Amino acid sequence: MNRILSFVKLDYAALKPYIKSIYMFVVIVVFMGLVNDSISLMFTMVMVGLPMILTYPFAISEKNNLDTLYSTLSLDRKDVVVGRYAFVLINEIIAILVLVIVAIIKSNFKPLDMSSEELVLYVCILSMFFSFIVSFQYPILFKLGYSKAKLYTYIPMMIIFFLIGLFPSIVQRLNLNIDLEAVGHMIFTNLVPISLLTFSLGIIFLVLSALISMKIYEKKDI
Amino acid sequence: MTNILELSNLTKKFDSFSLNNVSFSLPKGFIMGFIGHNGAGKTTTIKLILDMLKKDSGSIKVFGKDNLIYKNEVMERIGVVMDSTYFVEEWNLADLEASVSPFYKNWNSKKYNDLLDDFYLDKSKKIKELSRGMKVKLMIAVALSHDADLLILDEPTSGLDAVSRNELMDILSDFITDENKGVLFSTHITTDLERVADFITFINKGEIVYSGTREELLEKYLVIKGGRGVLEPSQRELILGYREHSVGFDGLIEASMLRMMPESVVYEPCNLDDILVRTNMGGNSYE
Repeated sequence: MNRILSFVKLDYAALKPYIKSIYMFVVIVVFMGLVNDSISLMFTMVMVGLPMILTYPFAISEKNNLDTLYSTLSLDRKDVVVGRYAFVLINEIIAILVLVIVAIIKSNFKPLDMSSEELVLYVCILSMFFSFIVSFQYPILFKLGYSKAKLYTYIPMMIIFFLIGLFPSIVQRLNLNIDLEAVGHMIFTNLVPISLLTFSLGIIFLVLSALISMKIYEKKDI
Repeated sequence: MTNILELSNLTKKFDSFSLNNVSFSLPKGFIMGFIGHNGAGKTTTIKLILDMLKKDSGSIKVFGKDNLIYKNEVMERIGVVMDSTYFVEEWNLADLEASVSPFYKNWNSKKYNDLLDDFYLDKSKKIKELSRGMKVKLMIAVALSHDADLLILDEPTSGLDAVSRNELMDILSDFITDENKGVLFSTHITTDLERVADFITFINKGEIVYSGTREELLEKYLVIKGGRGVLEPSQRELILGYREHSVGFDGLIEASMLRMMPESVVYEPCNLDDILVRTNMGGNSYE
């Protein structure tokens, strides 16, 4: 456990070259969250921006030959993978906390455009999407390294936006009689279980992804 | 003698190169020079020891323990210096310590700082601001700050000036005064080894062709010279790296084969460079 925590610390230290752009991102997100009428914009920005930031350790690792460093340390390969996913989870939790804190601060000045239950649901759904994106990106990054994998890392976001964009026409084309109002009602009457379900799905994505990454990184020649 | 490092029948195949049945051992208290031409398999062997590459077969024991099963335990006691740095270039030397020290139970911050002082390395400097020689010294400082028992150095001297190389040899000599420690030092600059290496392991085209004491290796071969046309074809075949020039020939021969040569030839002791260069020149196979 200590080694994994030390690895997470190492990942944070490795982010030093990008620290200014990360601070800039946080400032922009918080500013947009405070000035914009809809709180959801701030959440969406984080969902899109954070997975990109979380590819930085791979970029830095490739540029500075850090896989070699990891091999010279008292560190198993699986610790490297688990540590990198722990780094993701920690950042996700920090991001959620920051977003919720900003939302609470904002609510003191102006009523939010969603209830606190809706906010929890929104956070859980975004967390699931975020986990899906990272779960897709990381095994490829472990396999190919940052330069070769960079293009592929955009695929999950494209899939999500593509599906969201196409959803109405798919429903129409397949002649599906989805009663969106009923779905909405079902969701809002079961906020707690649905929030738990989406959050759990996100965790399942990450665990499966970590297992695949472990297999990939175990076999990798550095 | 207890071995600090033991490789048995180590094999790794790539598309265009393979390491075949590499076996050698390094006893405690000695420095082993690991020599070979560029691309002979030195770095591949070292990467296998450090689990950077996955072996196809064979075994690696460090401090008597399997390097994979006991990886964390083994790596606590190994100090590594590679031919290029593997630290974040934006880090300063304090960042570096903060990042790597948690991985070592025996990290000695005072020793790290003392070594930086000894090497005239400024702790506030960024790694990218250091020269090649300073970067090698930094890797050595890290390697020596966690009380390593085995140093593995992969071509640390390439690109270093003579003064820096000499300093490195002094550091290794000091390190090995503790008879429980050992050094595996890969290089193609064999003059570095003349001063410090007790043992030599010579790898050529992925195969170990010699592993033993430096003296035995140097006694095993002689540089031979003679006039044009004095050698029979069968005699010529015994010469490694045979080279003809305007007044005669020269080459390398096993000392035991000297009796097969005509009396007119002259011979002299060889050095490691002669062995390395002549074996790379083709001609005879090197057994």
